[in-house]
Amino acid sequence: MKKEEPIFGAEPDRLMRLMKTGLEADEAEEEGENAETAPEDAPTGKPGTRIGRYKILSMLGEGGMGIVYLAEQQGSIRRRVALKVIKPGMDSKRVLARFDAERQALALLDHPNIAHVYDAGMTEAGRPYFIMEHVKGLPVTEHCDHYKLTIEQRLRLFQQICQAVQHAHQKGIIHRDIKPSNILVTIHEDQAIPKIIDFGVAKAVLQPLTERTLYTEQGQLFGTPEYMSPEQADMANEDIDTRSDIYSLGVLLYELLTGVLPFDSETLHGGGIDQIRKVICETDPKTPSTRLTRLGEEAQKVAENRRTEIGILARNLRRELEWIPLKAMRKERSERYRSASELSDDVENYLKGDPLMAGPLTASYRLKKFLRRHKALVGGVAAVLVVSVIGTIVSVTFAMGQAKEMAKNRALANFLNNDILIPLGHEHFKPTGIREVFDTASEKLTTEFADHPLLEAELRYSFGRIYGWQFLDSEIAVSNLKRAVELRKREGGVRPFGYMNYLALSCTGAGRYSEAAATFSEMIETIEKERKQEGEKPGGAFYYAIKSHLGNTLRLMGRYDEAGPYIRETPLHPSWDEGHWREFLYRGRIAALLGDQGHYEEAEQLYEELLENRRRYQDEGDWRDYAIMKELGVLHTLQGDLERAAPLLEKAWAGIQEELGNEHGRTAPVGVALAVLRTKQVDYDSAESLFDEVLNNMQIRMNDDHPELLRARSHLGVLYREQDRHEDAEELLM
Amino acid sequence: MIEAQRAKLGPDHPHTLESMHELAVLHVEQDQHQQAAELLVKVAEGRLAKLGDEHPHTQESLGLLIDLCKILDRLEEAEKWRAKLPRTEAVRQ
Repeated sequence: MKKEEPIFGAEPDRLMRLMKTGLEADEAEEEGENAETAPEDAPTGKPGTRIGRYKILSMLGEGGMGIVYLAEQQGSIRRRVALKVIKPGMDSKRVLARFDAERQALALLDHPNIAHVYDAGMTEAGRPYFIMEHVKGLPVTEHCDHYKLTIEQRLRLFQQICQAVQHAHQKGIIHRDIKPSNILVTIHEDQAIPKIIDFGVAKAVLQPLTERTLYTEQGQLFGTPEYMSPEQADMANEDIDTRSDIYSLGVLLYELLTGVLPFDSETLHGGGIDQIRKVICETDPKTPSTRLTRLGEEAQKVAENRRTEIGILARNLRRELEWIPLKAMRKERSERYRSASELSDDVENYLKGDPLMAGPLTASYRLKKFLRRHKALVGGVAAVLVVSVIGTIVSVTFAMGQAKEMAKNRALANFLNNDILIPLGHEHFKPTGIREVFDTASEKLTTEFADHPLLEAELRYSFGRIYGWQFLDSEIAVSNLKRAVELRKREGGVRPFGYMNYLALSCTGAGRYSEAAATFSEMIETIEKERKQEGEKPGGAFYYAIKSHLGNTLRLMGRYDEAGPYIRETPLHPSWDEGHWREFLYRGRIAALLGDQGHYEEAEQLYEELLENRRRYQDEGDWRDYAIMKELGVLHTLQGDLERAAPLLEKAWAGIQEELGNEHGRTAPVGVALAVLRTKQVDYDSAESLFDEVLNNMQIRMNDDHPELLRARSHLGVLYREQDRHEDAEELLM
Repeated sequence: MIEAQRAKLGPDHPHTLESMHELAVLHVEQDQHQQAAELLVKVAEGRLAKLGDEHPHTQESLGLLIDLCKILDRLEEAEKWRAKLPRTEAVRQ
């Protein structure tokens, strides 16, 4: 983590002491007992000396901009203040003139989370100084880590900061240097209160980023590039507005969530001012979840400081929380939040489970969020299904959107209302009847949309996904998707790769391997042909994904030699981190092929590596973890190492049932693997009851000739054979 | 079962061959050695072509077939199948 610049107010250790001892420490300082010696370049700062009306008590800290002293205002009003003397290198008269220009506006700032800036002046040596409210506290990031605040607590604190910035913006004041060391958190009656300091100071001191103004005479940086907006970093740009503070708030939020800055110091400072400007203006920050998962061992500490685990934190970030800082930090300021209060509102949206402003502008995302919040009202499965169809319908309607399309809209509205919503809203409807509603509705699709084939295609696609993912009925999914692809091809327009991909994947799920391979091959050939016509080589994540899918299908067809090149060719995309589900998918297929080819040790090694990566970056409990454990268990079983196989398969079986339920298509193969193991362990009764359970579930959702079902029956035949039930065995094996 | 697998996946699919091997083992347990050997010849040929001689499943089928040939006093044939094993496995046999 980047080391914080020394803070305004006090060094952290010293501050902790001050916070613990309170007034006693202040009194001691007043008497000079604990006073620190001012550095040589600050001759005016010795304890007991005066700067204007202020008596220096001690030095509190030194930052990039200047040195801060604890001082006491003399005269009729006696109060403790913080006195910041700006480092040499500034044109003092200009600084003071700028400050004077804003003095009236600053006087209007009255917010519990903003520290007052009382006054400014010039030392006898000609250096500008500022008089500010003395705030005892830690910089916000240190406070959060010290007290191990959870993500929600950090977000609540951040919202207070946003509200303070909003208040200043409404008074026409831009901070220009928002960063953790300018936001101190004090504790008052057990309440953490963030206070923003230095309002008005930065504008007076900082100028556009040029070689001349970036560095002090001692070669130290003025300002803090890490939190600087692109428009501030652009030396030609004098036009700084409130959105510059929004950017800095985005960086601050990024750091509060992940413990690191969007750009590491090495990247930022590696090549002088041009490098700084280039990075700030042109380089997109890595997503917080990516930064987090690439931290290595440090990520553990980051997670601990947030009272969570790395996997959970990364997942929450990836799911949507990270969209907020990324939106606040957009290079193009018109794409950022329009105000600090809007940023705070979006944090509130996250905390309440509402759709984020930073989220995609799709109807389905917003509906999903709505239904997630109202799950109890709508009912689990029904919610997911309805939202899929409504999302499609809304987006299709929106896409058409023209008056001349009214007839299509009407057809859609009628279908949605009459065939889905009314049945769902019926007083006797039960969530278990959801499949029936969709079966009836899907039968009407062709007749109701006879005049609108592309709409039928769109709806068939959604229905196909619903049948595949929610009802786990690959056969019906395939029939809907086939019709969708057929309609899209017939009606022309954009090539329906999305439809074809899902059709082929569903065919694989249904055990229709030849059809799946034909569809994947068609897609690959089309992409290659198109690219050739454009004079380019085929490539890209989608192209390689399809190749991997084809390779996997060929593997399932037992065509291992042909499968190898496709499976192995799919490179790991640079943005797919270790532990990412794509690593599981693509490298897992390599391991599966190795296992099928009898290279058990190599397969085992790769699965172990995948499991290790997932454990390092994800919280255990995802079905993929159990799928890997199952594969390892099968490999051990094949090699006769039943002792190693048993705990893996038992754990995988318990875990995947809990994660996906008994009826899911991914659960059954784990049960079969465990039943095979129990057969080899001569635990026949237990093996048989497990076979019964798993086969029952498989038979419900699979055609009789599904390859997985056939193989499971073959394994059951082996169990009967081992039990000397030869007739039963013969019946199954023959 | 085997017919269904043949129809769905093809006669030389590893799953079809696996079921055939298991059926052959059943025949052995039922002392139907001739039937077992006939089936195992098809499995061994299929696995050699599909999986290669290094694959554990191929070696398992070849090993059982060699044993059966010996039981059936078809020593020449046993030797023929033994020659198809990789050198180390052949020595073990």
